[in-house]
Amino acid sequence: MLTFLQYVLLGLSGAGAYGLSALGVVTVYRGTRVLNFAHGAVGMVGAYAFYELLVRHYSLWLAIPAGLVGGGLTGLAVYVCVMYPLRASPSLNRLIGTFGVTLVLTGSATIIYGSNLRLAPAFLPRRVFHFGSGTFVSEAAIIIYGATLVMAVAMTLVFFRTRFGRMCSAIEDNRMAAAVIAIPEFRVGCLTWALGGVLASLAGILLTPVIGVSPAALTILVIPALAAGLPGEFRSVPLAVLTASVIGIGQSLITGYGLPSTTVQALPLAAVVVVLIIRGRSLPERGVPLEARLPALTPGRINIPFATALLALVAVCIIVLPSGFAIGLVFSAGTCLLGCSVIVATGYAGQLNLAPMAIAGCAAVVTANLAKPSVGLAWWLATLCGIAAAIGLGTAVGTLAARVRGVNLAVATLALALAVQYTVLTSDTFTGGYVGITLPTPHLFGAQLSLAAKPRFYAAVMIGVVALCLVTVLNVRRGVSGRRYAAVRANERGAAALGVSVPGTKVMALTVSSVYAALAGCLLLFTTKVADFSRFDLFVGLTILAYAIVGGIGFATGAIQAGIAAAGGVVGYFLNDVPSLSPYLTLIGGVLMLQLLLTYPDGIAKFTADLINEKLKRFLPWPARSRTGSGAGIRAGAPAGNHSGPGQGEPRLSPNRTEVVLRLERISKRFGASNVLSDVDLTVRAGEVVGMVGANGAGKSTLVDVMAGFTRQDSGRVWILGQDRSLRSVVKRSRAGLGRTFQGLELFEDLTGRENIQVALESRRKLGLLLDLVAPSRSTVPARIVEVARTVGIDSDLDAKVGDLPQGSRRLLALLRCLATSPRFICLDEPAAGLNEVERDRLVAALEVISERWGVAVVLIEHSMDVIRRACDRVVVLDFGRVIADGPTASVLERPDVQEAFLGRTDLEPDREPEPVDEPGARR
Amino acid sequence: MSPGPVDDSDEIRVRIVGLQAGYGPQTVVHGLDLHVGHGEIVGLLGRNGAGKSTTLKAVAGLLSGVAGQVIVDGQLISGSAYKRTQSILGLVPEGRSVFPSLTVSENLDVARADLDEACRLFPELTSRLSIRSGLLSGGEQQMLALARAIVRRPRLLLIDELSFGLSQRVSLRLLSRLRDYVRETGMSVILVEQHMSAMSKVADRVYIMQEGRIMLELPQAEIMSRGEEIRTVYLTG
Repeated sequence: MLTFLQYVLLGLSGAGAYGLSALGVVTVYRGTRVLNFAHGAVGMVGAYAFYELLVRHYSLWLAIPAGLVGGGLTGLAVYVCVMYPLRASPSLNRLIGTFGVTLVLTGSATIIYGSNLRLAPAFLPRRVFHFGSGTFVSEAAIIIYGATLVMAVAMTLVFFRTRFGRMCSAIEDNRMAAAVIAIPEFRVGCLTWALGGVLASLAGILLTPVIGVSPAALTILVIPALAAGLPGEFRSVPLAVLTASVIGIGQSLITGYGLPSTTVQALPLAAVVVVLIIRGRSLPERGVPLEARLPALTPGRINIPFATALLALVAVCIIVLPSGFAIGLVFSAGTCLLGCSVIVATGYAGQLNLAPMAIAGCAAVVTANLAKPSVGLAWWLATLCGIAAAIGLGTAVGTLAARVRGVNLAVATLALALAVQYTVLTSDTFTGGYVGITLPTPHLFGAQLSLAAKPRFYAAVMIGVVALCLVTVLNVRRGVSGRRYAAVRANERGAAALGVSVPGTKVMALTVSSVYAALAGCLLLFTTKVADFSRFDLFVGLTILAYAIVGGIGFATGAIQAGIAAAGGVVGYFLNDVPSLSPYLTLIGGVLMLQLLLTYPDGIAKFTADLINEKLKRFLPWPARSRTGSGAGIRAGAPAGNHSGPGQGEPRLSPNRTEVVLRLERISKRFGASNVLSDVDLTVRAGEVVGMVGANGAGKSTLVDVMAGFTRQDSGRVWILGQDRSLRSVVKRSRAGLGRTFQGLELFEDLTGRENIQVALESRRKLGLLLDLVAPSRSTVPARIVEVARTVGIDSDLDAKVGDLPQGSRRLLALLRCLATSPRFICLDEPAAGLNEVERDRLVAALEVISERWGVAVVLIEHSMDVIRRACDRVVVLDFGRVIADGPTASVLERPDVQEAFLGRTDLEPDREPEPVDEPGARR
Repeated sequence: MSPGPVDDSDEIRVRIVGLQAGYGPQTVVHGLDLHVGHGEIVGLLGRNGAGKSTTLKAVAGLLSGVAGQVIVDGQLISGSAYKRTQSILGLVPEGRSVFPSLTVSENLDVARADLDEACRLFPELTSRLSIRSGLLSGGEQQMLALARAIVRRPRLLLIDELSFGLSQRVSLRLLSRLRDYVRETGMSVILVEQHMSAMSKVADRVYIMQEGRIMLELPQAEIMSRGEEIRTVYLTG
């Protein structure tokens, strides 16, 4: 019986190799913010170069450098040919770009070497050091782990001590600012990718004696490397090496203590996922940069002529073409369903879920195990249970997404998918081992649903299901849930401030998306007599995701295109006549994928949609509909009617001026060593406009964050409408009647102004979400919001995409959106910054309507003394986190100490300048 | 053409001819012509969306599909932002452009900006050199961004809304240091501001833009004297 220490020592070489690989992943991420899925494949090239020389009996001292150079050059080539051209694409495209590179590299290697495993010569010293009571460690393990530690120290020094490291940080902090001080982004990128390639090769080379040489084994090395990078968010070298060590040694221990080998693979990955959930936050912090560019979204209209024509074509093909086509169509349709799942979760809601295939696989496993003769559940009942299981897993992924975001979520779901693959999809217990699970033949409408016996009928059923699902996918986009998904995708803080439950929305999106995946899993399951779970392989799933992105991840047609391109699908049917092509398919698929990613960053669907719109416009007798389909200009419709509040419908004309809507009681907050707020007391009554002024960093934005629940105060209480809400979440406070705008606006940039307002109007709807699948609903902007839109002069801008609006209109729109939640009290953070004089006049007029007529209380943070003077009843002055003055506007502003301290206007002409704040908020 | 301090063509250092720029299919700046002299600060004024920032970005090489010429000291400027800003151009972009994870001295070092000269320009920075710039106040961050760009000694410096997000006192301090330095070194500057009063204090000459075109060119003296007219005709909607 070996000791614990012995298992630790045995795990050292694995830990070292994972660590080296993780170092490469971190290097590439720091230099170019790309999560390199192709890292293992790049290392594979270096390992093959090394292997080639070694088996030809060249010296080790030639083979190793040659392998490292080979990997370095491959990394460099990947950057220059693919990643640099993709630098301005959405981060999802860049991730999938590296997946395309993986396909190209492994495809090429398979063509040259075949997919078989080759044993590599053991080139490392075989000496073993014994110590203590039979414990030993091999010299090879010491060399591998030692090399990792040396490289880790070296890379840490490079990142923190050299100009190159600082350039990496600068580019990561602010790409544009780096470009305009002549930091060579291209050269930095080249260097990091080359370095990453060298590290990947080193890991591959050192592991060849252990795992042999094969395209698959070397490529898969990327998984532990990605998992190791996660806890340090791909930035921290020491954390990456530490995690890699834990994974390597953990695997050794699990093997040592006799657990099944599948658990060995899965457990460390599951552990990383758990760490991420614990460390995650339900809302991102202030100042965390948003994704610069999101994939384009479909407006969600159903193109009936196109859909009819497509269905007719498919029907004709099913009837006319040989049955082989129908079989291909079944697999295409299954992939299309998986595509639907990807589009809802990743396209609409922006959650990078890489596990749809695992969800489909789980549904299939549950269905198969319940439908098998020994259990004997009816096929449809088993299928329903399978779907229920998938919904469970989808909800779990949604819960993960609620805490972990962006590329981190991609890696976490990848780890989850792999854990599912190891423990469920390849486990003998669930898949019936060598014998497999024999399935019953389902019957539908009295006919056998069997691909072997009646392929055309099977295909027709599949197409029917796909058509229905695609309609629901488009319906979702047009409804309440689609807007809410898009809002969460664009800006989580902005959505939360409107009372939208961000975690709830994510869970909803992933649950809905898992239903599509489950349908795909079950329908594909019954295509064979004996269940075949190998089709739910992770890599197949990633390929489908990649095709959906290339097709257009925000568009239903993206799913169709993924289906058409799927392995074994209709394209495969036509290519079957060219059997000599089959070894090259992976390579061709990869090259095609990269080519399309580079040419159409928003997917082919966006390109074709634009093309069709452009061309059709000329022939159509009627004008094309607007993006949201809600007509041009403002429609002064009925009030939303689903919730009540002041100003709802008919404005309230005589607010109860004595009602206290907000009371802050001795609020204190520290950030590190500095007291940002000290014992702040504040009372605001209905219909009152309170100005809040103070120098940069006085704590004004932090105070708003505390009021709205974005920051938890260290001590003190927040009373909203007479109730203690000190510990309530952002969403709860919003629903209690508190609205806010942000200094940074936090609008949903890729939605229209109208949709931004609709998200706010609909934030309390619950039932609509499921109804959307069938009949999407649309709320009308109520008359009172239209009135304010006219007052501030942006009523004609509401149907433009927010990202295209000038700064002034965006700022005013943020006010409108905040009002759409029918708040009793609003905090406006710098509403006049960047507005011109006319826009400011309109803002002041609007504030009068809101406070005087509707009775809404307003706290106005503003540096423009002109706006404060004209709009505020009362002014509060903050200085270093303390209230130093609180009283009627004129008397406070006249106080010499206030003027001296904050206004800085002793020798200037009357001030109409903005003096926006700068708070600790700008700080990271 | 209005009389200005640099009508004499010998003094003209920067010429922008027929500049056309925008985002994707949308053209924002239409055939813009302007010039800047040695040691001159030229302002671009205009309302939101008039094309001021777009003009600066186009000149700096940050936009694709730009037509027209940028000529500095008789030399045609082209290529990427990286190439343009290596020696000839400098840009202080809108918003905070410091690198928050780096210290003040690292911010300067990574830009190859001379530390001593930056501290001479803004002595306030001396005591801040080893602080992470993300922890500086907004005014200090903007000071650092300005110093970093100035000390690189570009021949043409472009500044986008320096005073956005700053108190008036701080922004005037920054702008007046800029003016002194420009007088000293003969650097040419194009300054974008939303508001006339700041502009009237530092700019030698102002172009007023509307819908991507230059509508008016004014010497400093006339900025405030014709203030009301400019405000009503061009700056308000």
